[in-house]
Amino acid sequence: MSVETERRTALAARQLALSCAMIAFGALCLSVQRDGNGAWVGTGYASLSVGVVVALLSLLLSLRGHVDVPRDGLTALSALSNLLGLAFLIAGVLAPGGGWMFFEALLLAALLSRGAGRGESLSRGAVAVLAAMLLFRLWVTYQGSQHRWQVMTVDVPILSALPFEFLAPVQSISLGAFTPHELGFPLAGLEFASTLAAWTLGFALLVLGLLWRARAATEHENDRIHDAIWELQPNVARLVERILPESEWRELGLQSLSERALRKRIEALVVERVAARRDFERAVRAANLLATTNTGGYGGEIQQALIEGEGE
Amino acid sequence: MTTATAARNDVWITSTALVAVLVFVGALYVRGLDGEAPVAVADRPREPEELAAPMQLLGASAYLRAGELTPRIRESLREEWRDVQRFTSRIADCPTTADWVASPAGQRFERLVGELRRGSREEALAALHLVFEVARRTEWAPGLLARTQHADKLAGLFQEWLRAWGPRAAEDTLLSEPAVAATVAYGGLMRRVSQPLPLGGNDEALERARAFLLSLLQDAHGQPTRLSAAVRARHPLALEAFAGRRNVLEGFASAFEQAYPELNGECAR
Repeated sequence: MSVETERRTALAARQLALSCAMIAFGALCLSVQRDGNGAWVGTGYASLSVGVVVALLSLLLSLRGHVDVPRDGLTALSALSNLLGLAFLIAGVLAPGGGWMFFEALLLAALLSRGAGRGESLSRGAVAVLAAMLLFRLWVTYQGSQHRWQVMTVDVPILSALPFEFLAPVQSISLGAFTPHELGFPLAGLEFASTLAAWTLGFALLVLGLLWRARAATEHENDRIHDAIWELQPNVARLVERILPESEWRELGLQSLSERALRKRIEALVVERVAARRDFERAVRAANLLATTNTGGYGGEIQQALIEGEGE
Repeated sequence: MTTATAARNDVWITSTALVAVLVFVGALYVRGLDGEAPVAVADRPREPEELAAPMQLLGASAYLRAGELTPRIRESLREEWRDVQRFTSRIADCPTTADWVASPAGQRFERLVGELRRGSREEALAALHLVFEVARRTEWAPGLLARTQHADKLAGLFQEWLRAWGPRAAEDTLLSEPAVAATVAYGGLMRRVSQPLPLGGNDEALERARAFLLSLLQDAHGQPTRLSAAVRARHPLALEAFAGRRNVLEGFASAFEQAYPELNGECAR
C-alpha cells in the first residue's frame, strides 16, 4: 500500500473518531439545563427513553435487509454514536409532554427512517423538521420561564375590547396549556438564557456531528475496500478499480461486508463484469452495424461494396 | 507512513474515541441530576449579630423594636434617627400624607430617609421602617374625590427605596423580605393612584408603575430577576396579574390588602 493511501486511511479514521466526540459533546449540551439556583441540572431520562425508541425504530426501518456490522472498536463506537446521537437529538427537540410528543415521535420516526434508507444519516428535510421542533421547544420553554403556561393566548374579537372585569375569563383563549412538570423544569425554576445557549450549541454539534460521521464512516469503509483491492498487484488493482469504480461500491453491496466476504464479492464482480464486457465486444464485432445505416440506391450500393471489400 | 507516525496516529484515534465514550457516559449521568429546591434568602444562615425577624420592623407594632436599629445607625445620624422615629411613631390625627411630608417634621423625615437609604443595609431597613410608619399614620386613600397625590407621594418614597436597594436586597438575608413588602406596597399604592375610582383611570400613572416594576422584576433579557422570584414565592398571583394585559396592578393591590390590612390609607379607621 502506498504512503498516500495509508495517510488517507488514517485521515478517515481520525475524522470518524472526531465526529463521534462531536456527537458526544452535543449530547452533553442537550442533557443539561440551568436552574434558578444557578446550578446545571439534568433534563431527565423520560424524553431520552422516547428518543432511544424513536432512533432505534427509525434505524430498524431503514435497514431493509442491509446490516452494517461493526468490525472494530472504532466502527463499533461509530455505530453507537449514531444511535445515541439520534436518541439525544430527538430527546432534545421533543416537546417534553402532552399529546404533541406522540405526534412528533411518529413524524420523526418516518422522516429519519426514510433518510437513513437512502444512506444519509440525516436528510435535509429531517434537519429542517428537527430545527422547527427545537424552535417550538425553545418557545414553550421560554413561555414557561416567564411563568406563562400556554403556547399562546388569542384575544377574542370585540369581547377583548370591552373594559369590564367580569368578562376577563372569556376575553382571551389559551392555546396549548402545559405544566412545569410536563416541561421537566427544575425545582428552582429555569434560567432561560444559559439553557438556550446550551441547547442550541448541543443541537448544532449533534446535527453537524451526525452528518460528518456518516461521511467519515463511508470514507472509512471505502478505504477498507480500497485496501482489499490494493492487496493485488498494482497494475491489476488499477484495472479492478476501473472495472469497479468507487462511486458504485455502495450500490454493489461492497460496504459493510466482512473481510472474507468482501474479497469473494470483488472476485465475483470482476469475473462477472469482465465476462459481460467480453460478450459485449464479441456481439459488437459480430453485428454488421454499418448495414443498418444503408439507405439503398446509388449511394447504398457503393457503401455495401466498400464494406465487403474491407472484410476481404 | 513510518511505524512511529502510525503509532502516533493510533494513539490519537484511540484517545479521541476514549474522550467520546467518556463524554457520552457524562451526558447520560448529568441527564439524571436533579436540582435542589430553592432556599429562601431569608432562610439562609445569618450573620451572628444580624437583626432577627426584620419584617417585625415593618409591622403594626414595629415601634416596639425600633430601638434595636439605633445602635446600627451611623453616629452622625443617630440623634436625628431617634427624634424622627419618635415623632413618626406618634403622628396624630391622621394628616394627609403629602401635607405632612411638606410640614417641617415631614421634611426632616424625608431628609433622613434619603440619608439612610444611602447608608448600610441596617440603615436601609431603618429608612423603610420610617416609610411604613408614615404609611400607617397618615391618610393617603384617594376617596371619592380621587385625590391621588397622597398615595402617589407615598409610592414615590417606596420607589426611591426600591430603586436604591431592590436589586441588591433580593440576595440579602436581612432585606429580602422587606424588599418584597416594599414592592407589593408600591404596586398596591400605584393601583390606587392609577385607578382611584371603579371607572376611568390614570394611564400615565399606570405606565409609570408598570415601567418601574418591569425594570425591577425583569432583567435586560426579559427574564425574572431574583427579586421577582422572591415576590412570586410569596405573592404568586400578584405577578400572574402583572404578566397579563389588563389590570396589571390588581394582583399587587390584592396582595397588599391581604398582607397589610391595616394599611388602608385611612389610618386603619
